[in-house]
Amino acid sequence: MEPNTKRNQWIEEVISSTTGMKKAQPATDLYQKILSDLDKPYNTKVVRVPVKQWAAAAILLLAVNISSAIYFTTRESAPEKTNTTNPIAVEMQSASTYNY
Amino acid sequence: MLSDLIPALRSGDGQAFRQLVAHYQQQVFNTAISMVQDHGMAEDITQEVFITVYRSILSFNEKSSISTWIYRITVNKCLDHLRAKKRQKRSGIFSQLFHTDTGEPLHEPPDFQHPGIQLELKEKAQYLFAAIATLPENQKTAFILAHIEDLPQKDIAEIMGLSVKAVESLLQRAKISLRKQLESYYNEGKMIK
Repeated sequence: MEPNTKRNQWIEEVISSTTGMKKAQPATDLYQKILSDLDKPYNTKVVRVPVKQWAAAAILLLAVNISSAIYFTTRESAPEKTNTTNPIAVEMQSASTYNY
Repeated sequence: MLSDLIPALRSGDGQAFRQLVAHYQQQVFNTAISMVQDHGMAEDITQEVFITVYRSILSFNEKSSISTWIYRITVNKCLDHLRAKKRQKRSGIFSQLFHTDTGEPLHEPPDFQHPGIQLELKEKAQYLFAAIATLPENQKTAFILAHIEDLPQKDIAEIMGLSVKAVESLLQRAKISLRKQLESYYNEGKMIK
Protein backbone atom coordinates (compact mmCIF):
# COMPACT_ATOMS: atom_id res chain seq x y z
CA MET A 1 0.00 0.00 0.00
CA GLU A 2 1.20 3.55 -0.83
CA PRO A 3 2.50 5.44 2.22
CA ASN A 4 0.00 8.27 1.64
CA THR A 5 -2.90 5.88 1.28
CA LYS A 6 -1.86 4.13 4.47
CA ARG A 7 -1.63 7.48 6.27
CA ASN A 8 -5.01 8.67 4.99
CA GLN A 9 -6.59 5.40 5.99
CA TRP A 10 -5.16 5.75 9.49
CA ILE A 11 -6.47 9.34 9.74
CA GLU A 12 -9.94 8.25 8.64
CA GLU A 13 -9.94 5.49 11.22
CA VAL A 14 -8.89 7.91 13.95
CA ILE A 15 -11.56 10.46 13.00
CA SER A 16 -14.27 7.80 12.98
CA SER A 17 -13.10 6.27 16.27
CA THR A 18 -15.94 8.00 18.15
CA THR A 19 -18.49 5.94 16.24
CA GLY A 20 -20.73 4.04 18.61
CA MET A 21 -19.27 5.74 21.66
CA LYS A 22 -21.32 5.88 24.83
CA LYS A 23 -21.81 8.95 26.96
CA ALA A 24 -19.56 9.30 29.96
CA GLN A 25 -21.28 8.99 33.34
CA PRO A 26 -20.51 11.28 36.28
CA ALA A 27 -19.98 9.89 39.78
CA THR A 28 -23.07 8.54 41.51
CA ASP A 29 -22.72 11.01 44.40
CA LEU A 30 -22.91 14.03 42.07
CA TYR A 31 -26.30 15.16 43.37
CA GLN A 32 -25.10 15.04 46.99
CA LYS A 33 -22.02 17.08 46.08
CA ILE A 34 -24.18 19.67 44.34
CA LEU A 35 -26.44 19.92 47.38
CA SER A 36 -23.49 20.39 49.74
CA ASP A 37 -22.10 23.09 47.41
CA LEU A 38 -25.48 24.82 47.38
CA ASP A 39 -25.42 24.98 51.17
CA LYS A 40 -22.23 27.01 51.08
CA PRO A 41 -22.52 30.82 51.08
CA TYR A 42 -23.00 32.29 47.61
CA ASN A 43 -19.75 34.21 47.35
CA THR A 44 -17.01 32.26 49.02
CA LYS A 45 -14.58 32.68 46.18
CA VAL A 46 -11.46 34.53 47.26
CA VAL A 47 -10.40 36.97 44.61
CA ARG A 48 -6.65 37.06 44.39
CA VAL A 49 -5.18 40.30 43.16
CA PRO A 50 -1.85 39.66 41.43
CA VAL A 51 1.32 41.17 42.95
CA LYS A 52 1.80 43.38 39.89
CA GLN A 53 -1.59 45.00 40.47
CA TRP A 54 -0.78 45.59 44.14
CA ALA A 55 2.56 47.17 43.18
CA ALA A 56 0.96 49.39 40.54
CA ALA A 57 -1.71 50.56 43.00
CA ALA A 58 0.93 51.30 45.69
CA ILE A 59 3.13 53.25 43.25
CA LEU A 60 0.14 55.27 42.07
CA LEU A 61 -0.90 56.09 45.64
CA LEU A 62 2.65 57.08 46.53
CA ALA A 63 2.97 59.28 43.44
CA VAL A 64 -0.30 61.08 44.24
CA ASN A 65 0.84 61.67 47.84
CA ILE A 66 4.28 62.96 46.86
CA SER A 67 2.93 65.28 44.17
CA SER A 68 0.29 66.73 46.48
CA ALA A 69 2.90 67.21 49.24
CA ILE A 70 5.22 69.02 46.80
CA TYR A 71 2.35 71.16 45.56
CA PHE A 72 1.26 72.32 49.02
CA THR A 73 4.77 72.92 50.41
CA THR A 74 5.86 75.02 47.40
CA ARG A 75 2.58 76.95 47.49
CA GLU A 76 3.07 77.91 51.16
CA SER A 77 6.72 78.94 50.80
CA ALA A 78 6.34 80.95 47.56
CA PRO A 79 6.02 84.79 48.00
CA GLU A 80 2.54 86.02 47.28
CA LYS A 81 2.11 88.23 44.29
CA THR A 82 1.08 91.81 45.20
CA ASN A 83 -1.73 93.30 43.34
CA THR A 84 -1.15 96.74 41.99
CA THR A 85 -4.16 98.59 43.22
CA ASN A 86 -2.56 101.99 43.62
CA PRO A 87 -4.34 104.25 41.07
CA ILE A 88 -1.15 106.28 40.39
CA ALA A 89 0.83 103.13 39.65
CA VAL A 90 -1.92 101.91 37.32
CA GLU A 91 -1.85 105.28 35.57
CA MET A 92 1.96 105.04 35.21
CA GLN A 93 1.76 101.54 33.79
CA SER A 94 -0.82 102.50 31.20
CA ALA A 95 1.08 105.71 30.42
CA SER A 96 4.12 103.67 29.45
CA THR A 97 2.29 102.39 26.37
CA TYR A 98 1.67 105.88 25.05
CA ASN A 99 3.36 106.75 21.83
CA TYR A 100 4.95 110.21 22.26
CA MET B 1 -42.29 17.27 30.17
CA LEU B 2 -39.06 18.85 31.32
CA SER B 3 -40.24 22.33 30.41
CA ASP B 4 -42.92 21.84 33.06
CA LEU B 5 -40.10 21.72 35.61
CA ILE B 6 -39.18 25.37 35.10
CA PRO B 7 -42.01 26.90 37.20
CA ALA B 8 -41.28 24.33 39.93
CA LEU B 9 -37.55 25.14 39.79
CA ARG B 10 -38.35 28.83 40.02
CA SER B 11 -40.33 28.23 43.16
CA GLY B 12 -37.33 26.40 44.65
CA ASP B 13 -38.79 22.89 44.44
CA GLY B 14 -36.03 20.47 45.45
CA GLN B 15 -37.67 17.50 43.77
CA ALA B 16 -37.79 19.35 40.45
CA PHE B 17 -34.09 20.18 40.78
CA ARG B 18 -33.27 16.53 41.48
CA GLN B 19 -35.16 15.54 38.33
CA LEU B 20 -33.33 18.14 36.30
CA VAL B 21 -29.92 16.93 37.52
CA ALA B 22 -30.86 13.30 36.83
CA HIS B 23 -31.93 14.15 33.31
CA TYR B 24 -29.05 16.40 32.26
CA GLN B 25 -26.05 15.15 34.25
CA GLN B 26 -24.88 12.83 31.48
CA GLN B 27 -25.16 15.55 28.83
CA VAL B 28 -23.21 18.02 30.96
CA PHE B 29 -20.52 15.58 32.11
CA ASN B 30 -19.99 14.08 28.65
CA THR B 31 -19.56 17.53 27.08
CA ALA B 32 -17.26 18.66 29.88
CA ILE B 33 -15.00 15.60 29.84
CA SER B 34 -14.70 15.78 26.05
CA MET B 35 -13.75 19.45 26.19
CA VAL B 36 -11.38 19.56 29.16
CA GLN B 37 -10.14 15.95 28.88
CA ASP B 38 -9.74 15.63 32.63
CA HIS B 39 -12.08 13.52 34.75
CA GLY B 40 -11.73 15.55 37.97
CA MET B 41 -12.13 18.88 36.23
CA ALA B 42 -15.19 17.59 34.35
CA GLU B 43 -16.77 16.56 37.67
CA ASP B 44 -16.13 20.03 39.11
CA ILE B 45 -17.59 21.68 36.01
CA THR B 46 -20.70 19.46 36.17
CA GLN B 47 -21.30 20.57 39.76
CA GLU B 48 -20.71 24.22 38.89
CA VAL B 49 -23.14 24.02 35.94
CA PHE B 50 -26.01 22.74 38.09
CA ILE B 51 -25.29 25.26 40.82
CA THR B 52 -25.40 28.02 38.19
CA VAL B 53 -28.66 26.60 36.80
CA TYR B 54 -30.19 26.53 40.29
CA ARG B 55 -29.10 30.08 41.10
CA SER B 56 -29.97 31.68 37.78
CA ILE B 57 -33.17 29.89 36.86
CA LEU B 58 -35.06 33.13 37.52
CA SER B 59 -33.09 34.88 34.79
CA PHE B 60 -33.68 32.09 32.25
CA ASN B 61 -35.84 33.80 29.63
CA GLU B 62 -37.04 30.64 27.84
CA LYS B 63 -36.09 32.03 24.42
CA SER B 64 -34.16 28.82 23.92
CA SER B 65 -34.83 25.35 25.30
CA ILE B 66 -33.54 24.47 28.75
CA SER B 67 -31.21 21.92 27.13
CA THR B 68 -29.64 24.63 24.94
CA TRP B 69 -29.29 26.91 27.96
CA ILE B 70 -27.57 24.16 29.97
CA TYR B 71 -25.26 23.35 27.05
CA ARG B 72 -24.33 27.03 26.81
CA ILE B 73 -23.49 27.22 30.51
CA THR B 74 -21.46 24.00 30.21
CA VAL B 75 -19.45 25.20 27.22
CA ASN B 76 -18.72 28.55 28.89
CA LYS B 77 -17.58 26.88 32.12
CA CYS B 78 -15.33 24.49 30.17
CA LEU B 79 -13.75 27.36 28.24
CA ASP B 80 -13.20 29.28 31.51
CA HIS B 81 -11.45 26.26 33.03
CA LEU B 82 -9.33 25.68 29.92
CA ARG B 83 -8.29 29.35 29.86
CA ALA B 84 -7.34 29.22 33.53
CA LYS B 85 -5.31 26.07 32.90
CA LYS B 86 -3.58 27.71 29.95
CA ARG B 87 -2.75 30.79 32.05
CA GLN B 88 -1.23 28.57 34.75
CA LYS B 89 0.89 26.78 32.18
CA ARG B 90 2.04 30.03 30.58
CA SER B 91 3.11 31.54 33.86
CA GLY B 92 5.13 28.47 34.74
CA ILE B 93 8.88 28.45 34.51
CA PHE B 94 8.72 25.82 31.80
CA SER B 95 6.44 27.95 29.66
CA GLN B 96 8.83 27.64 26.74
CA LEU B 97 7.88 23.99 26.53
CA PHE B 98 4.32 24.83 25.57
CA HIS B 99 2.72 25.67 22.27
CA THR B 100 2.48 29.45 21.97
CA ASP B 101 -0.97 29.42 20.33
CA THR B 102 -2.80 26.75 22.25
CA GLY B 103 -0.83 26.50 25.50
CA GLU B 104 -0.66 22.74 24.97
CA PRO B 105 2.57 20.89 25.68
CA LEU B 106 4.73 20.52 22.59
CA HIS B 107 5.79 16.95 23.18
CA GLU B 108 3.18 15.25 25.27
CA PRO B 109 2.02 11.85 24.15
CA PRO B 110 -1.77 11.53 24.03
CA ASP B 111 -2.97 10.03 27.28
CA PHE B 112 -6.63 10.99 27.72
CA GLN B 113 -9.08 8.15 27.31
CA HIS B 114 -12.76 8.98 26.97
CA PRO B 115 -14.64 6.45 29.11
CA GLY B 116 -17.37 5.98 26.51
CA ILE B 117 -15.14 4.83 23.64
CA GLN B 118 -15.32 1.21 22.55
CA LEU B 119 -12.39 -0.86 23.77
CA GLU B 120 -10.99 -1.70 20.34
CA LEU B 121 -11.05 1.96 19.30
CA LYS B 122 -9.48 3.40 22.46
CA GLU B 123 -5.95 3.81 21.07
CA LYS B 124 -7.12 5.60 17.95
CA ALA B 125 -9.53 7.78 19.93
CA GLN B 126 -6.59 8.88 22.10
CA TYR B 127 -5.00 10.47 19.03
CA LEU B 128 -8.28 12.06 18.06
CA PHE B 129 -8.71 13.66 21.50
CA ALA B 130 -5.08 14.80 21.51
CA ALA B 131 -5.72 16.48 18.15
CA ILE B 132 -9.02 17.98 19.37
CA ALA B 133 -7.13 19.55 22.29
CA THR B 134 -4.98 21.54 19.85
CA LEU B 135 -7.99 23.13 18.11
CA PRO B 136 -8.93 26.77 18.71
CA GLU B 137 -11.81 27.22 21.20
CA ASN B 138 -14.67 27.72 18.76
CA GLN B 139 -13.62 24.89 16.41
CA LYS B 140 -13.20 22.58 19.39
CA THR B 141 -16.66 23.48 20.75
CA ALA B 142 -18.37 23.02 17.39
CA PHE B 143 -16.60 19.72 16.71
CA ILE B 144 -17.42 18.23 20.11
CA LEU B 145 -21.06 19.29 19.99
CA ALA B 146 -21.40 17.87 16.47
CA HIS B 147 -19.37 14.66 16.68
CA ILE B 148 -19.38 13.70 20.35
CA GLU B 149 -22.77 15.06 21.40
CA ASP B 150 -24.33 14.38 17.96
CA LEU B 151 -26.20 17.67 17.93
CA PRO B 152 -27.64 19.11 14.71
CA GLN B 153 -25.95 22.24 13.34
CA LYS B 154 -29.05 24.32 14.13
CA ASP B 155 -28.74 23.50 17.84
CA ILE B 156 -24.98 24.11 17.82
CA ALA B 157 -25.61 27.51 16.23
CA GLU B 158 -28.06 28.37 19.00
CA ILE B 159 -25.70 27.21 21.75
CA MET B 160 -22.74 29.13 20.31
CA GLY B 161 -24.76 32.21 19.34
CA LEU B 162 -23.74 31.87 15.68
CA SER B 163 -25.47 31.33 12.34
CA VAL B 164 -25.80 27.82 10.92
CA LYS B 165 -23.44 28.83 8.09
CA ALA B 166 -20.80 29.94 10.58
CA VAL B 167 -21.07 26.61 12.39
CA GLU B 168 -20.74 24.75 9.08
CA SER B 169 -17.60 26.69 8.29
CA LEU B 170 -16.19 26.10 11.79
CA LEU B 171 -16.73 22.36 11.40
CA GLN B 172 -15.00 22.32 8.03
CA ARG B 173 -12.03 24.20 9.44
CA ALA B 174 -11.95 21.92 12.47
CA LYS B 175 -11.75 18.85 10.23
CA ILE B 176 -8.94 20.38 8.17
CA SER B 177 -7.00 21.28 11.33
CA LEU B 178 -7.56 17.80 12.79
CA ARG B 179 -6.32 16.12 9.62
CA LYS B 180 -3.18 18.28 9.66
CA GLN B 181 -2.56 17.47 13.31
CA LEU B 182 -3.12 13.75 12.78
CA GLU B 183 -0.79 13.85 9.75
CA SER B 184 1.92 15.30 11.96
CA TYR B 185 1.35 12.55 14.55
CA TYR B 186 1.62 9.97 11.79
CA ASN B 187 4.76 11.52 10.33
CA GLU B 188 6.40 11.82 13.74
CA GLY B 189 5.70 8.11 14.16
CA LYS B 190 3.80 8.75 17.38
CA MET B 191 0.88 6.51 16.46
CA ILE B 192 0.65 2.77 16.78
CA LYS B 193 0.45 1.54 13.19
